[in-house]
Amino acid sequence: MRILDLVRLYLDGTQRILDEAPGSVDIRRYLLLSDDVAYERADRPSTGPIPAGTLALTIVGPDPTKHADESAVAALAGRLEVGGRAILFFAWAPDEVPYHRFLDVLTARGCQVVQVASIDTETLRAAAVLERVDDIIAPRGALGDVTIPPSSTKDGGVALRLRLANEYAFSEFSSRTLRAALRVRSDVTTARDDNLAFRTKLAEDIKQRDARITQLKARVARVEGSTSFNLGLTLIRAARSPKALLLLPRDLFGLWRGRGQA
Amino acid sequence: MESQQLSREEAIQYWDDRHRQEGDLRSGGHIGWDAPANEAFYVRRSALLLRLIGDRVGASDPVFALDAGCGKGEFARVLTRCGVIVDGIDASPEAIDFCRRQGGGRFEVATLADFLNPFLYDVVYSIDVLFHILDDEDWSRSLVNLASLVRLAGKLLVADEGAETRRMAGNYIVHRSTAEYIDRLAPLGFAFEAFTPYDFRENAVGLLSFVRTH
Repeated sequence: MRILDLVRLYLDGTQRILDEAPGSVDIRRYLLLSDDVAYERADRPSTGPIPAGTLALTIVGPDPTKHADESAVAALAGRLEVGGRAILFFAWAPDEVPYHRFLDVLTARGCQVVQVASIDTETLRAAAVLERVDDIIAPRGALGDVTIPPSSTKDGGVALRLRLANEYAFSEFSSRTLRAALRVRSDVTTARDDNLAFRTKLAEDIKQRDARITQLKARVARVEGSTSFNLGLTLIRAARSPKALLLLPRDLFGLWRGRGQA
Repeated sequence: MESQQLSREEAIQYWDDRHRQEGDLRSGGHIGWDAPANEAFYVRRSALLLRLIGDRVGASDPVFALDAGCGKGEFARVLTRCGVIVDGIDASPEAIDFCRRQGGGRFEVATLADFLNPFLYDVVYSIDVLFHILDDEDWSRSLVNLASLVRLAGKLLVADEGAETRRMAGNYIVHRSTAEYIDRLAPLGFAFEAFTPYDFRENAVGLLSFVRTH
């Protein structure tokens, strides 16, 4: 999702955007704000309250020189008044956001995460929209633009809470099962990769050994064809057998004539 | 009149034969129109579907949808190309075989009333199918099963005429009133959003849009 698409979903009733993102990322250029929404850039986080009608922005990530950390998120969440909203842009990839670091601080400060989305920029990869609430509010659809009519929660929202809890229970069950299956698949893939690497190495070893054998065979053939080798062979044969000894002059002459031909 | 209606089994057989005998679009589209008209009709309905699903779909933010009564899967393939992750079901094995050969989604032979799944969907849509279910009990079971597959804040989009009274057309169509849909879905936690007509030629059908509120 583009930053523009996400922010636009929360502009109804927003009069001011407070950009407290540390570092040099220029979020404003993605927003295409109309004149009726004021934009304020704060180089360092302020301490003032963030009332309803204000949407605060910050960037959270692993680099303390460029990104806010969990204590900065806690401070920001603590400044939200009921109805005040903030968007945390994450520098982590969507499947690497360490959200466990933020759940406690958000819950303790009465903030509800109303939407989490992927973001299509190189530096900002995901985002979570927070709202300070005094009662649980209805979640949004997958793309953020489907909202549950307020009239549906007039009865105190018991049915909504039950549905939320029940969906959570089953979706958690499904995701745990899938997570376990993914782990098994990952292990199998790793084992398969290891096996493949071993087989590749074996094939390489065999190839090198074959090359060495070919090399040695050629060397042996050269040695066996040399005059020195045949001279030694002839002398040994003559030393072992009197009959061969008688033929030694003829054999030596033959070697002399054939020298250098091997 | 009642005796002339197709039974459930006859209706399934009728659609299986029709998917086998007719062209790609006419088999699940309007039998009385030629191929170009059906092409235009599919484009019009696909555009409406996309509008109701939302235009923020992307590879990094997929929407999970169920095409209930997908026929030969034309809508599913269009939505898949637009980034929606679509599962399709249809009672016709012939149609599902065709869908699987084309790819672009997960397709299963199942009726709307009997389909089971371990996941909920952001959108469940059923285009020009429910009014072909003549038996009220079967229609109700189908609608309830589709509704059960919609997540909180998800959408259920079903095609009918959005009329105040029910109307029969031939021996294989029963157009039910919007009130009948609301009566069945409101107790299940759905709020009626709107009826949006296809606005195509003489066709009075459109999409009834419901949101799950709890």
